[in-house]
Amino acid sequence: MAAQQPDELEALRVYSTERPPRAALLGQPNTGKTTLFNRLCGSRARTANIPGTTVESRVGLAATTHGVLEIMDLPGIYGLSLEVPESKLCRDCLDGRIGDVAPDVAVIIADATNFSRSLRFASHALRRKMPCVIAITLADDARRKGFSVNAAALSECLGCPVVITSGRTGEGVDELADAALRAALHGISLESFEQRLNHLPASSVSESDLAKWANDVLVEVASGRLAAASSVSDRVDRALTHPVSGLATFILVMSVLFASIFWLAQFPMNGLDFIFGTSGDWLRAVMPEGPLRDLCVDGIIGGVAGTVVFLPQICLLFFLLSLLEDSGYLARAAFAADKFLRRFGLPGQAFVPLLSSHACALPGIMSTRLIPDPKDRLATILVAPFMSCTARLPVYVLLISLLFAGRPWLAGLAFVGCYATGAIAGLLSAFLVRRTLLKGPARPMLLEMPPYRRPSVRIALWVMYDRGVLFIKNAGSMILAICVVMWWLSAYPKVAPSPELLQMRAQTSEVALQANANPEQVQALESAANLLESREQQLGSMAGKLGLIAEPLFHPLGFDHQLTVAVLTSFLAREVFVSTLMIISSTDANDEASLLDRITHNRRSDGTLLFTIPTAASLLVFFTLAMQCLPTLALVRRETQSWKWPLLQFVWMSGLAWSMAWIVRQALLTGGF
Amino acid sequence: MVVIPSTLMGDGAAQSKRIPLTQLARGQRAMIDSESLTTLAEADRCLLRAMGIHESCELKVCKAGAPCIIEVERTRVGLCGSVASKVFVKPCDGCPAA
Repeated sequence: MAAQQPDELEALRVYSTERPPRAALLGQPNTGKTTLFNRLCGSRARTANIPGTTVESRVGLAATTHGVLEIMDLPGIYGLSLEVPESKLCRDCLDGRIGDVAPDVAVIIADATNFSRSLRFASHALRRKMPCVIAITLADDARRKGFSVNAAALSECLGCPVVITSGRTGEGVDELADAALRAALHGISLESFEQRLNHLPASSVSESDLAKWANDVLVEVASGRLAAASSVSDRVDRALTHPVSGLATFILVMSVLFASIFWLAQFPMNGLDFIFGTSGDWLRAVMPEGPLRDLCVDGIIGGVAGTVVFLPQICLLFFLLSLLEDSGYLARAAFAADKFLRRFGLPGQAFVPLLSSHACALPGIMSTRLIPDPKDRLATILVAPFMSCTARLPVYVLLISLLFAGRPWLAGLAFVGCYATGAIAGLLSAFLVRRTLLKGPARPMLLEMPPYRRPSVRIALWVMYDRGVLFIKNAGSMILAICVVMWWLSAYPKVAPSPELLQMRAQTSEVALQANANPEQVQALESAANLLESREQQLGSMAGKLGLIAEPLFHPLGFDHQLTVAVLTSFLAREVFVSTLMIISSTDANDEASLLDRITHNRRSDGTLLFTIPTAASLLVFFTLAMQCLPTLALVRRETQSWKWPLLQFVWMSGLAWSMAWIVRQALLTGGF
Repeated sequence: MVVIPSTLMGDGAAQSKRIPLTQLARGQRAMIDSESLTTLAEADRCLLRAMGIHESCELKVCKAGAPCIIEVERTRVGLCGSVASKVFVKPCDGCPAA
């Protein structure tokens, strides 16, 4: 690094106190850009939307010898002039049309292992009138393969500073930060910009001539020759994209991935459940009884717990997906799934989000960021909640047990049928949406196959941390607000105890005061009284009154007002349905068998059985297809930056669920069930 | 542009005939025809060019069929069948299938 003049050092310090100079990392995908960014910024990075856009960018601070440099990691692009959203965003960002301030310097990434292509990319970027620094990445990898670049000679050729780096080893990272800071400080004069342009081929040059120019530069500044990709890569590629072995490997990898998520995540999930449960109990014990305690315990802790409990699944999913992506496998996997999904207007990359949605729609929707085309991504987001998530599981278990009691084979088939129904509905909805609202086929797969590499655990941990923080922020803002509102609706107004409840309480006290009182009997009476109180509160609350109002809507499906309340309250989260049913069917048992027994014998106001086969079947179909998940809607709103898509999703899924449930009920009634 | 199917061409034109990428065998080398990318959608054509797959560049087929995987310089690109069938190439002399 060149020695700094005292006045320059002083200027740097002054500059740094006003605002740190900003550098934008600009490069193609799979060129080690993100690894370099992580090495430059370490823990001083955060993910945020580029101001005024919905596109995320990582922003961090790099400490240099002479001050702090803010670094923005722009999306990986193949060319600045391409008419794709990422390229347009990079152009706008470099020109200062978006963002709070234009970058002071562009750090152009040039992959040493694919040097000719990187030079062609750099030649376009260097045509912008702004200070530029070239960072040659993956230099260690290239050297191992017998190829090296002379930085000084390249700097002479291109007319801008060049630093050889390696994000993996840290080589040249400090020098790069210093060089970028110096370039940002100096700015660029018209004279030096014209000098730089003289080094570059004309802007109107054809791709072939540009390739010739790049090869000439390469011959001048590089030594050695990179060996051709190994035949092992060819063989692995053939196996992984083969219609049979590729699909089999894909299914195997994804099965292992999701089995790991379910198995490994259960331990931290149980831990979180315990922490929230204990915190709630502790608050309930220390706070005086009243609305504030109810808000804290039931609204805030209860509401957030229901969402945050999925955090381990989300972290694990992104950790494992990052390892797969880094290894180079995901690009091959996308091709394996492409042929099937394309028939429904979805790209191959949609498979991972759709499969993830079987665990939970939230990580599934977040992982649609792997899909490059905005229409493809939106179509995937819209249909992802059709996949049967784990929150539907308790409802499936309950209703299938009710429908097929003592017939395990039929119960198993029904279980598979629920999953299949959700997946088919999702694919058909995608087919429909690609022919109406998002017209056009899925973009043809045209994907760079990155070289197979040993995945970096360090990067995977960063991705996991990043996604986890983002999820918690979301849970702590919009989802928390929605949970509090829903709690308020179901908890207020407070209902005065009915004579029946007062009598039950009095009877409990009487039994408890008896000398030979049976503790089990007392507990059973108390439990029954508590359930009755909950039921009265549920029905008398605003949510309950809404249930009474909404009852005519669900009447054709065979739901009475109690079932309507359960359906409405489960809008917060599907798993709430089972606990609500437990509350509204007032018996003293808490375990599953008692619940099943209670539901089986639950009666309507007119004395007829509530859960007949047609009603239970229509309820099952309704839950398989309906959008009963407020956090998912909130996330869709956040991901699409519009209320239009979550509202459409809600109306479509609910409408389809209602229609299919009605058809199933009518068919069963007609069949004499 | 009129695309002449390879089956209509005589054997004598073996080295100069334009054939779709999908007809190349694994390991075969070819050169992208000067106007072959014009049959592609604008976005795909620009993306391929930016990836280094431009007119007159030489490529190697790593996997034939669909998807078709080709290698240009050090870049390996997978193309679905619909794109690969629209990319016309001229097989190179002395570069037989592996």
